[in-house]
This record gives sequence, C-alpha cells and structure tokens, in this order.
Amino acid sequence: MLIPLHNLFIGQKGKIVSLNIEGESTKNRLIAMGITPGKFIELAHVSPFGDPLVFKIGEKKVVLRRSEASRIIVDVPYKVFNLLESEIGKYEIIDIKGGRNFVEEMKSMGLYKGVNINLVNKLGNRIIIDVDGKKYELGRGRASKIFCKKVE
Amino acid sequence: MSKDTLKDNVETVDKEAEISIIGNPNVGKTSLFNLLTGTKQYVANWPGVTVEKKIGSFKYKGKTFKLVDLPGVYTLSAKSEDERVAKDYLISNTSEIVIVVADALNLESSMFLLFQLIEIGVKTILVINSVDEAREKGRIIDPSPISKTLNIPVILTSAKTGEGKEELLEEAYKLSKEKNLTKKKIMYPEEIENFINFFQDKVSKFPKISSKYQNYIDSSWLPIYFLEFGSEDLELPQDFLTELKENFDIEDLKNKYLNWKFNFISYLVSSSIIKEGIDWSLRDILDHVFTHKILGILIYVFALFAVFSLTFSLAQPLSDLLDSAFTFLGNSISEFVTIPWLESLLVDGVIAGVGGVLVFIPQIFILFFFLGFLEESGYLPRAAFLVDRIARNFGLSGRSFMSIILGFGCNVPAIISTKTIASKKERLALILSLPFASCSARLPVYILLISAFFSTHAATIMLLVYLSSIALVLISSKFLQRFITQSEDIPFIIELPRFRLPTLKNLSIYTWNRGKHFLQKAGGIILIATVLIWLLSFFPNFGTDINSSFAASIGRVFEPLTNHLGWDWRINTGLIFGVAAKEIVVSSYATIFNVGEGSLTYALQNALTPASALALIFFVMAYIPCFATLATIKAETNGWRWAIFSFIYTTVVAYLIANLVFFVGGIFL
Repeated sequence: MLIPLHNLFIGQKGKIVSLNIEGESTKNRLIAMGITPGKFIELAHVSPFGDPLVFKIGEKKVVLRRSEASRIIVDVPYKVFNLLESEIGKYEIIDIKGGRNFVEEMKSMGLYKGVNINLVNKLGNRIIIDVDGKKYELGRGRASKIFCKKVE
Repeated sequence: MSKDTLKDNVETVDKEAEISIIGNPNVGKTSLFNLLTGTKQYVANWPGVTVEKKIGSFKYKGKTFKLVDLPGVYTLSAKSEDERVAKDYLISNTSEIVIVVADALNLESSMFLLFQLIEIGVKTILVINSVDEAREKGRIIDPSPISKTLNIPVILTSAKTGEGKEELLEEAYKLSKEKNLTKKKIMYPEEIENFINFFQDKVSKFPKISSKYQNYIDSSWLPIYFLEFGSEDLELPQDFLTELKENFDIEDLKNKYLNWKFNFISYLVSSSIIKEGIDWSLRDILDHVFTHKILGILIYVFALFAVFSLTFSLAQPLSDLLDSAFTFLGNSISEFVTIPWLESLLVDGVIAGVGGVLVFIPQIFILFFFLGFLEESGYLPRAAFLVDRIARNFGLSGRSFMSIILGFGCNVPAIISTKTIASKKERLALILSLPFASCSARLPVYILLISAFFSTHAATIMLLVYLSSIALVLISSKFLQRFITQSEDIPFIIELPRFRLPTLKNLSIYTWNRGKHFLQKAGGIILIATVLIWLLSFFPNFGTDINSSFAASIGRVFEPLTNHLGWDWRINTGLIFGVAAKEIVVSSYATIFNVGEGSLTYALQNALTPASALALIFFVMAYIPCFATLATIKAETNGWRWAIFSFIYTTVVAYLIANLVFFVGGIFL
C-alpha cells in the first residue's frame, strides 16, 4: 500500500518508492542524505507541536517537515489508523500509546497489541467496539490513542 | 631569466601544500581539524558570501601544509551557498588534496560525497573518524575494500584519542609529492558509458564548450557533471543540448546513474563493515526524553534559560570589573595629562572606545563556550526540532528562537549566534530584525523616562515595550524575507546527530577562535565610531560647551522632523550619542540639560509631555543599533551593505512607531 511518508505511525517502517519533490536542489540534498527509493525509513519521533517529524534511515536520524515528507511516497504492508479515524469494520490492535495506567486499564478490558476487535458503531463522540463478544464504549481521547490496522 | 619565472621556480620548490577537509555536518570534521592544526587556525569568510572559512596550518617532515575547512555538506549538487562554495573551491583546486571525513557509525552517508570528489578527479583521502566510539559499540570496519576499489588511501582515525593521525599525515605527505594523479577508471554501466563516449565525442567538436570549467576539470568528468548537476553552469551551446536530448533520455539516464551509484555505494559499505554493532536503544530513549511533550520542552526552556542567564550573569561582574578598570585608567590619565584636548581625546575618546570593545569580551567568550557546548553535544538540532512549528508562523525555523531570546540580553551575541542557521535568507532577515530585540542597555533609558512620567503605570508600560519589541522582531523577519531574493529557500532538513560529550580542548579552540574573530572584525569599528562621537561632542569649541558642539548642531538639524513629537534638539542630541551605546542616552541627557542625574527627572518633565516621552521610549526601543551591533552585522554579513541598511531601516521603523505612539498616546494621555 502506498502512502505519503508523514502518514507513517511512530515505529512503523516503509520502503521509499518515490520522491516527488519539485525543487531539484532539495531533491539532490535528500538523495545525498540517503533518502532514496528502495530504502527503508521509519518514523521515530514527532515534535510536541505535531511537526516536524524525525525519521530513522540507515544509520541516522533525519528531521523533515510534514510538507516535505508528504511528497515522499513509501510502501507499507498496511496502513495504521487510530480508532478515532477508523470506519466501522474489523481491526487488529497494533499499539496503544499512553501512560502506564492507561495501557494497564486497556489491558484489563482485553485491549492490547495483537488483539482483534470489531468497531461496531460510531455515535458522535462515542466509539463502540466489540472485543471477544464484550462491548465497550470509548471516548474520543481514548480512541485516538489506540492504533490498529484493518483486518480483511 | 625574468623576475616572474624566477618567482615561479622558487614557489614550486618550497610551495606549501594545500589540503582541504570536507564532510557531512556532524562527522567530527572540526575535531579532526583541531587535531591536525591545534590552535594554529583562524576564522574568515569566503569571498562574497557569509559562509565561514576556517584556515589552519601544520608542518610535517619539514613541509608546511595549509588546511582549509570546507563547509559541512552532504552533496556538491544542491545549491545553497555552502554547497556552492565547496564545489567552486574544489573544482578550481584540482591539483590539491582533499580529505573526506566520514563517521564510522554513519559510513554510508559520506560515500555519496566521496564519490563526487573521486569523479571530479581530485586527490582524495578518506578518513573514517570516531573509530574508537565505533569499536566500543562493537562495530568493526575494514578499510581495504574501499581503498582498493576506489584506489584511494582510507584511514581510520579518532580525533579524540589521536589515533591514525600519523598515518594520515604520512599519506597526505606522499600525495603532495605526487605530480599527477593516477585516476582509476570507474566502470559505469553500459548505457552510462555510451552516454559518456557520445558526450566526449561531441564535445571535441565544440571547442568553446564550458569555457568556465575546461581549465580545471578532467574532461571525462564533464558528462557525469552534466548528469548529476544539470547543464546550468556549463553554458553548453543549444544545438549541442538538442543533439544530446535527441539521442538520450536525460532524466531516465540520471535516475539510472544515481541508482547505479547507490547500489555501488551500498555494496562497498557493506563489504567494509565486518560487524554492524548499531544500537539504537540508548539514542532512542534520550531522544524520546528530549523531544517529549513535557520533559522535552522543560529541558528546552531550562537550556535557554541557562545559556541566557549564564552568559549575562557570569559576564556582568567581569564586564563591570573591566569597566571600572577603564574608569580608573581614565582618571589616572586625567591627572597626568594636563593638555585639555589631549586629555579629553584619551579619556573620553580612546579609553572609552577601547573599554567599549573590551566590556563585550566576557559576554562573547562565555556565549561561544555555551553555544559550542550545545552545538557539539548535538542538542542544538533537537532544540530546533522542538520549536520549529511555532517559529514557522513567522517564516523562521526552530534555530532562530534561541537567537531571539539572546537578543534581549544583548544584540551582539544574538546576531553572532545566528551562525547555526542553515538558510541564508532566514539568517539575514533575522540578523536585520534582531536589533529590535530590546537589549538590557536600553533598560536605563526606559527606567528614567517611565519614572519621570508614568510611575503609576510603570509595569504596564514596560510590558508594552517588551511585547512590542518581540512583535517587531518577528514581524520584521517575516517582512524582510519577502524582499531578500539573493538566496533561495532551503527546506528545513537536518540530521539529529549522535550525542557526544564535547571535549574541553575543542570547546576552548572554538571559543577562542570565534571570540578573536569578533574582536578583529568588530573591535576596530567600535573604537573608531566612539572616537567619532567624541569628535562631534568636542568640536568646534574644544569641549567647553556641549550645547554648541557639532552633535548639538546635528540635533538642531533634525528638529523639524521631531518638533511635532515634542522633541527639541536636546532630546535629539542625546539620541545621537545613544548610537554609541544605548545606556549613554541617560548620561548624555544629564550633561545636555546640565543637571545631575538625580534632578534629571525634573528637567525632563519640563522638556517633554507624557505623549512625547512615550514616543521617545518606543523610539529608543527600535532605533539604530549601537555601534557594536552595527559592527557585528557588518562582520556577520561580510560587508557594509547590510550594516548601512540596518542603520536606515531601524531609524525609519523607529520614527514611524514613535509617530504612531505619539498619536495614539495623545488620545489617552
């Protein structure tokens, strides 16, 4: 699946497919820094203000702004959503981002890495999920911290 | 034998060899430079640009080597000033030796640049630095595959321990003796070879091609140059280009060439690295902390605060000490010298001038020390990463924030600290806007005027002044960037280097060099300007009456422009003296109004209305930077042009603001 680089999720790796950068000079610089098609790149950190982003490529970490990252296309095995932006359907949990308490609490509900869940309904600010036949209601804040991929 | 040939002969006998050092940013290029030259180095600028040039020298086996530090770049094909400087230098000095510095823990990254140099055809040595660190992490590198494949010396070094230094010197010495470089032919893929042959074939039919480059470079490099750098610089005839395009798909060929190069590089690097030994865990944890929403920002604020307060609080007592030493010196001279004009020239002109330069020394050196620490430890790019989003609203990048904060202490170190900003456009706009940051020298003027007129609303007025000052810096840098077209936008693409503990040796060399550079570049101007101001106050009546001096006459000349603001010549004259240093405004008013500083409040209350006083406060906030700042602008932008621009620009802006404040203030006051 092809996605722009800035849509990677933290810790996710993608294989660079193309650099659709207009300026020749910028493109040359990216290439010289080793950001070239065929290489794997991973999103490592996000600035507290959401932008720029830090990527790991080869043996180094590179800072890119979203505007530049959005022009770099990477191939990923699957796209990662947080529950808030997901449509109704079946998902596998990839990661839960949050403090230890939050992660523990989610675990007690049966929500942890690798678990399959069913997003049953979205009612305004409430997201209803089904885990092993048990239904839970999640608010926006919690839903945005749960990352998952679609299960066909 | 003519004189010229004789000279030439002498030069070839004991001509010093020139070596340049190039490498990616953060590979330890500076440490290696320091290792080779020690303190025998100085900082200058490349001609015509603001890019810094560091030159050093060393001796080996009786031969003197001149070492030139080229800017840190990833490629020669991008078009920022740094890259252009490096490229032009390398192309026009093909006979000399180039040391490419690579980082043992990030080897692949430097190979692209190395390859470009080998293709240009210069004598190249690859230095793989930080091998001690790599070894600690379990990485083992074998230099022979690169050395054999590319036919260049490859040396493992550690600038920290000095390992590999002897070997490097020996190789450089050997290369410098070699007359002609035996360039190893690189075997390109067939398609590329065809293109090279076709190109060279055609070139021979156009004798006038590349008049600019044919003197320096190997003609076999021209086709590669064309593929990699484009045809802009080559000035190729149109029919030649058309013919190339008819026979080849240039874009496709370029991609094929780059792909081939990357595969080649990957292969070369992987055969040189015997054991990987890369461990991200500690770096990731540290970066997680440094870029964390709360912790990261706390550390950032703390770092800023530390640099700011240490620079100014550690420096203040030293500056005061220097200041009183000069006062003492002045007083002693007054006792000895009985000729009034000479005494005044020495005390009020020369000593005040030299003192004016020297009081900056503690600040500048301390600032450079901390800045060097932040830079070498690898924190600076992380700090820039944190706040980049906020700074971008004003057309700035994350790097600018620290400079602006420093500006509120003193504009001089703030302007110097913009060195670390990669985009020249952003840097220039910021340099010209930083004088609006209300430095601490302006504070005494505010305090004087506020206590005379607005003692009940002192805090409000002070807050207004500082808020306006911040707004002015930001708006001005955004505004100026629209008009600076001299260099193109450089996107904010930086590397987060590994963390390193800076060595005291490197920090001292850094501090000493930069501090010295500042004194040389700015010291003379500050001194001359101070003497000039003294001349204006002393003549034509030999200091007997300041009210009929040239300075007072100039103040009178400006009266038509300031009368409607309620400022008479006395106010104007004080402002003229303030150009030397802002805090002088207060003492000048005491002299001009012929009162002690105690009764100055009363004198000012008689001379100004509240609205004109308010306008004056804002004028002082924005108007002409002091001599030291102007001299720094000149030094940092490498020419008078921007210093003069700054002089005029700040005056116009300050005048407009003063009028606005007078008008709005007039409604409320």
